[in-house]
Amino acid sequence: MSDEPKEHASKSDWVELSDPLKFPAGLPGFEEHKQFILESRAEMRPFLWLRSVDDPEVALPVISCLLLKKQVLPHISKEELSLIDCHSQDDIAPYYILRVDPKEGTITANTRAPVIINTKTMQGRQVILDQDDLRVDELLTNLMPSRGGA
Amino acid sequence: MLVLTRKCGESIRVADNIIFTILECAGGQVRVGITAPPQLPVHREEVYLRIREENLAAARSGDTMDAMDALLKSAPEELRRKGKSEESGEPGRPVDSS
Repeated sequence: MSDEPKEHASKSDWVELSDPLKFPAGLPGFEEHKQFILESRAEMRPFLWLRSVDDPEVALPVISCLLLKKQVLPHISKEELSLIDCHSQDDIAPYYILRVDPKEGTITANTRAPVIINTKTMQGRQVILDQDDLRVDELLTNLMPSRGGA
Repeated sequence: MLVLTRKCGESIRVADNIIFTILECAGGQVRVGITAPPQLPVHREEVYLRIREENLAAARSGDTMDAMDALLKSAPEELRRKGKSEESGEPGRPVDSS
């Protein structure tokens, strides 16, 4: 983490949007964090934050892949689904982690490694897809549905 | 670090369910076949490290006021409309709000 002080948004306006989500393997870089919740602020929707229950200072902005064009919906293998006790892609909520660059005014999405959540068991994991053409820093504007449909 | 010398076609077993097999050595490259249970995902080291660095960078910038402003200003208009129509796709809500 940077040593520079950062101004956090006031926590009072945050709304929890999920029960605690179990991440048995943590996330790469946050392997010790085993539980997260999804939360947001009214004015920030549809951007959500995956916030660590173990350390609330750790929060990663995410967006539901279902809001983006269908062509970029990640395909998750049966083996990966089974790791969160899931047997159907229909039972997962997929998200892309976002990186915000305030100086450049850009938002990029990590399409190589979506976060998937089993909506029945509330288990989650970050999947690293075996597709070299997927970018970890895809511009969010490139993922938007084209006008008139996806 | 344990160092073992192997020939093409030979293997290394780790614990009782992980096997590395040397498939080919040519042109300064080694092709390795890996058999491991699905709960042990296998990745190239540099790919894993890139994902790790992206996660750390996302968390570093993610919930600062600057980042929030940038999100609001840079977000495509279609997304902001969808946000207002509550199509954010949360997997579940707290009991007290359902």
